[in-house]
Amino acid sequence: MRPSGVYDVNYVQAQSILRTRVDWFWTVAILGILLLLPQYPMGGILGIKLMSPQFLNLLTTSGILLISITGLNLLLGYTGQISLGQAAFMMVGAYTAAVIARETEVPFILSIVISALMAGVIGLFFGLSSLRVKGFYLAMATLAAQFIIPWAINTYEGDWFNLGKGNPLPVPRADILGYEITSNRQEYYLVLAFVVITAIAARNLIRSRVGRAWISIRDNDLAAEQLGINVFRYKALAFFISAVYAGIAGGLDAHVSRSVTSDSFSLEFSIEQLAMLVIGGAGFPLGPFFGVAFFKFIDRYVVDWLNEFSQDVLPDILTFLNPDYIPVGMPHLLLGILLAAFLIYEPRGIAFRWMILQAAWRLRPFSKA
Amino acid sequence: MAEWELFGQSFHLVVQAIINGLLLGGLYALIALGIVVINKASGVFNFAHGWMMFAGGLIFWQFYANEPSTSLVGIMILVSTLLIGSAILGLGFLRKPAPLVEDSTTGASQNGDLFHRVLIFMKRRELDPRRTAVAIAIGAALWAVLVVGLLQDSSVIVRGAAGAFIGSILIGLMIERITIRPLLGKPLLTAILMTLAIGFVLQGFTQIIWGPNDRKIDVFTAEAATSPSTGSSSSSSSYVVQIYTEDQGQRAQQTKDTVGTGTAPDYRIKTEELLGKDLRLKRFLVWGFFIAIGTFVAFTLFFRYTTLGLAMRATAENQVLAESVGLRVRLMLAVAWAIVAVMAAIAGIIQGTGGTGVAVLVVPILALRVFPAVLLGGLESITWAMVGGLVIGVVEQLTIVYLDTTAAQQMAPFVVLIIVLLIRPDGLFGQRRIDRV
Repeated sequence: MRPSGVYDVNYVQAQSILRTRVDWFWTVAILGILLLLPQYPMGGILGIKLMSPQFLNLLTTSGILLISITGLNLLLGYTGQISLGQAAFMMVGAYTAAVIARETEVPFILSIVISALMAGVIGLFFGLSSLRVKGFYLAMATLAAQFIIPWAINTYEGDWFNLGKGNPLPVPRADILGYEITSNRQEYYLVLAFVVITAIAARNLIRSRVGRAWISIRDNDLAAEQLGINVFRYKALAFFISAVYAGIAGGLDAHVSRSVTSDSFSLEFSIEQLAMLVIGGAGFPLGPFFGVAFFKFIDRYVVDWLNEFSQDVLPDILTFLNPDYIPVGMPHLLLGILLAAFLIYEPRGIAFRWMILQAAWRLRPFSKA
Repeated sequence: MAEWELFGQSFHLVVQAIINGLLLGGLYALIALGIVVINKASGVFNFAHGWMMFAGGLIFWQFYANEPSTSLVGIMILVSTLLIGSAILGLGFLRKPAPLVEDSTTGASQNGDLFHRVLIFMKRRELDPRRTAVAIAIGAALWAVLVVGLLQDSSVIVRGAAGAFIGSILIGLMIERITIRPLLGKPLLTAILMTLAIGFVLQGFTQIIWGPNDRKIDVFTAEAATSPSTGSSSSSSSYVVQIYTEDQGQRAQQTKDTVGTGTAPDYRIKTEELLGKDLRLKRFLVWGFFIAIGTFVAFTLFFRYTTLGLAMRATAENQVLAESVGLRVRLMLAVAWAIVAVMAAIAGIIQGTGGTGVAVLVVPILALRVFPAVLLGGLESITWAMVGGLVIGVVEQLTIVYLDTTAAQQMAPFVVLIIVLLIRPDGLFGQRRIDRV
């Protein structure tokens, strides 16, 4: 949404991703901060510790999560199809990348591409079975993916990618054209590069013919068909691309965490990703960013504080509670309550609130909000 | 005797698996019924059903294995009185009251004597006196059972059942009121996500209160025990519903060692001449089957033959029409959620009496495995949901025989699901009503 009076005066301007100078400013500023942050000395000025290694790791894992959720946003937010199998598709990507890195000499970038395509094809397979239907049935088919894929990976016998029960599969370090990724900082830059590339790709998809077709399918599929859009094909494409994003995220995750287990890609993780997207704002370019930031903030800081608080207070009031059990259930409880609250009070998520805030700032001092 | 084989497995194993599958299918049918009822009433596919089962099973365990405090029992009795009282009154509150008109037959207006006033009240509420009397009698009997069950120490099963009944009703009502009602008229995706959120919340609550341990409801495993075990975590049992095990005797021995009480033996069917071995039926499966099917039939009859059931079916058919003839749609939805919560609790308890107990890794997943059964029945039909449950049960048990347990748990139902989606997306037996693209 741009303020009235700001017009495109030539085609280059109309087609650009960043249209206004304000957009440019913010993009350059945020990217600059993200690029410079890890270079900042760990001690920090004025005794403020800005970048601890833990925080850097947090940013790295958030970036990986962000890629996957951006894919989910294309599917749920723009095409209006639900997927309960995003974690399973991540798993496909992670295992593909791990096997390629262990068994072959394929360069890193190519291995990420292969794992992305692998996840995409498998995602397409599960999507295809449900493309004739919508709603619950769709959710069911992707739920099937969430069960069948881990089963297939766990059942395969042989040391190719299954090292026996529950053993994680170690993955060698990533190697980009002879330049080995060794430190946390390098991993961070690697993930940041992928985040930027995938985010730009997503923006490009959205503002192109494909994105417009997706949005029309989301808003009214019958009308979309009347407009001559091949609904089946574009839905399939959405499934494919969403799974490709999951595959990229999975492949990066395998290389960054340097081990792969099937347990970390559970159904719960899929649902968490959905929750993050909805809280952040499905169908907004900034939605995944807000969702991941919000979730990581809650997960990292609020849950701990809440755990301590309730361990202090609750057992005195409710004597039957065991303080040891509180940290087990608290993250789920909090995420569930937050998701429910957002669905009831602001189903469009934080990103929509952000837009309202922006409009209010633009209209100051005449704004009401 | 004869070692007949069927695709490489002995005939006895296959027959055993089919019978086990049918027994397990009864449980699946009950779960499927709950999902179908919610889908028809609220138009929501309830992904939280498994967690409702889990919560119900845990509440049962709480009352079954522990001595509830007097204040808790008092609260429960109060709540049950309120619930049953409102249920009885609710019979008259299905519709909004007819306008008050001067009645020539009774010849009384508002200020007649008590008897006439009751008659006028019932006439306004369109109550049939005979039916009302029957409803009040049922309600009173139910209440008496609840009170006796909660107070009496000796019959722990009744106490557990009473607690689980009330507790699950409360859960159902709260879910409907807090989360589902604000979403009336919102898009379908929102509703699906909301059931996922409910699942998360129930998971959080149950984990905070009961912790990650498995709670065993040892109705069938330790009948002689005077003091039920206080729910030690099961370390030995793998997290699979082990129906068919070769080393059954060994497992029984283990239980005997740890619990210190006898294990009720499996039921046997003498088929030695015919199949070479006796068929063994696990106790909890047999009882669970009959309880599940009994519940299934009871609720089906309820939907078919009672006024409330009729009103609920009307609401499920078309909410706007139901509202326009004066039915209280919101009340119907609340009742539907309460009923489904009770069904879920029963299913959770039945699963909890099995080998693994009310385990966090078993019970919630169970409901997900039943989704294909619901789909097989086409999401709409109660009868075919039952058939779907039985089919999934048999498929699972046969997969255990021919492949292994994890395949049966994680793959078989979903392969059925994918096949059904590919062949007939509206369910093998469902009405052709689904939105197509």
